[in-house]
Amino acid sequence: MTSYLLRRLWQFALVLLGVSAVTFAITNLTGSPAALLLPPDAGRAQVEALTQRLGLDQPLHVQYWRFLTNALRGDFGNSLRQGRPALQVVGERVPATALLGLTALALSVLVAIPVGTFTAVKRGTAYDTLATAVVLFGQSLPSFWLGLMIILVFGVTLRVLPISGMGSWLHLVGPAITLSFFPAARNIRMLRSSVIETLNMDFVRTARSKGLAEHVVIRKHVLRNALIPFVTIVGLQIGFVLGGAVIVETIFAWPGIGRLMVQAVQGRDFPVIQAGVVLIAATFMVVNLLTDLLYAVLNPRIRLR
Amino acid sequence: MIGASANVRYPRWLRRLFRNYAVIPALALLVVVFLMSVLAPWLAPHSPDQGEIAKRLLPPAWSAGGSFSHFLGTDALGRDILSRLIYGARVSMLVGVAGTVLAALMGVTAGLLAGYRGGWLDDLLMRVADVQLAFPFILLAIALLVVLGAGIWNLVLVLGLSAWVTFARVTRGQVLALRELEFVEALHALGARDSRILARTILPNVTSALIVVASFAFAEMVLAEAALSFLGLGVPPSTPSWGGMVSEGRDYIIFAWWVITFPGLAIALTVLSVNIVGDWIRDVLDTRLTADA
Repeated sequence: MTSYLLRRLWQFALVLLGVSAVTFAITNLTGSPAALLLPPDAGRAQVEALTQRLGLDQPLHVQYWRFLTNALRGDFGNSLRQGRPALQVVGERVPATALLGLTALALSVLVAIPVGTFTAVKRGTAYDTLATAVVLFGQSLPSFWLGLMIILVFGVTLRVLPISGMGSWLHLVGPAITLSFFPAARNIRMLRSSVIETLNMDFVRTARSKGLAEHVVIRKHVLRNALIPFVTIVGLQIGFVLGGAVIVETIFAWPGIGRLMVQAVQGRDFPVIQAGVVLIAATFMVVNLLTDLLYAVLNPRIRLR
Repeated sequence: MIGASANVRYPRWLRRLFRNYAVIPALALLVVVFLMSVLAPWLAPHSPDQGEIAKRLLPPAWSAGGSFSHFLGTDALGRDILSRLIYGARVSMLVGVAGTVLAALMGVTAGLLAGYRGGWLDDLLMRVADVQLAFPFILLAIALLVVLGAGIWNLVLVLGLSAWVTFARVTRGQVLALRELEFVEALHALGARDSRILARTILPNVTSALIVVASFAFAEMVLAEAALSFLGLGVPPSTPSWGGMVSEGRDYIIFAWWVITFPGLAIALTVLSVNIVGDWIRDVLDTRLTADA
């Protein structure tokens, strides 16, 4: 177990190193930000002075080494637009994205458990076919369009939901539903096949043959076991949710990391992009590790090596 | 089956086709979209990019104020939405096909090498895949497109780069299993070169799994192209694309629902059809792959 953890942490460091190198490379391919930061009529001397002050005139490997050592101390430099530490600018947006992402994830699980179990138990019936069709449709909807449709129907026509920004819990409804759609469809499919697999197990036949009521068999014997692989899938959804947040936050003007990143990319705010990408990648990997550990705790048959 | 005598056996793919009745309309829709993209100049009733400002934001034919000459209405610049939808199919098809082919070429090559050679090359390729999976795809795409500039071929490049991992992982997994089988060992014993074994023996056996992966990759590319065009990073605004149409209609959402509704439906129905056909192919080929493999 210890050696497993150590190996995972070592991989973790390697991947983060790769992520930081790629981020650094990409943001440095776009040309010098010094020219972008100054007014268009700035003279050559001014551009050069700023380039020197930001250290952009040094060789790339020197810049990367400085970037890396500073990043390890949590220092990504100041935001080129706001003049404040980049990590602080990104950090302020974490609660909004966490609230939106976790609500969407919870919503997708709350929908998936009853629907996934029901369609598995009623496999092959009209209910199953109908639900499967709806799920397939859900996986095919572009999230930006779904978001706009929700704004159009509930915000503009029915006037029951606010159309943008963050404030009361009502502001959360539209973006959370939009963001949960894709993971919900996926979760339903996953849980359905997991429940079907469990239904064929010997212990289910035993439970039935000792005369337990069907709902007890489903709830206590089937569902509990079927949920174990499901945990892993839900953990992996974090990646989708973080990616989807970029689009959903942009549509609903939700002040989270996703929207910040789109703005930072458009404004070439390199330190903010770098801090954001590294933070998102690290979050994703921590969640993956926790998911794997949780899986081992829930299912003692799995030995982590 | 339909009036068949008992001793006629229909091929497996045909029997599956009859059992899953959603496949026929889905295939039909894909054929229509494909024909739209090829025959756009002959099918479109109007020019896709020249509008009459006097006819701006006309509603569809069936609502009050609509006319049959602009069946699905017009957008904010008075351009015919139906014509733009027909031309927009070109972008979706082109990006979907080219992006999938690129991703498959890169992924299959990497997967074959990693699975067959193993060792440090395998480690390296799989770590690179891990690094890529740690980025949310859309962020990577946005960053790359900002560097490369928006444009249809850059979009294909970015989408291909983003999807190679799935192809690589599936290929590698299959190769690892195939490598140990007797017939591969036999070829080794007969003195066949590695390149020959890979191309002539291993690759054909991986194909059915790859077709399934490709169909789902295609669906994802159509969605991703639309999302990136929506963010203004896909095809340039002068080229009509479904994602771009939704983006342009966004500002008029309050008084012109049709401008964003039809292109969105076109994306959703196309992707849905690809997913249905992909499920059917998987069923027919009977590979034990899920959409997430």
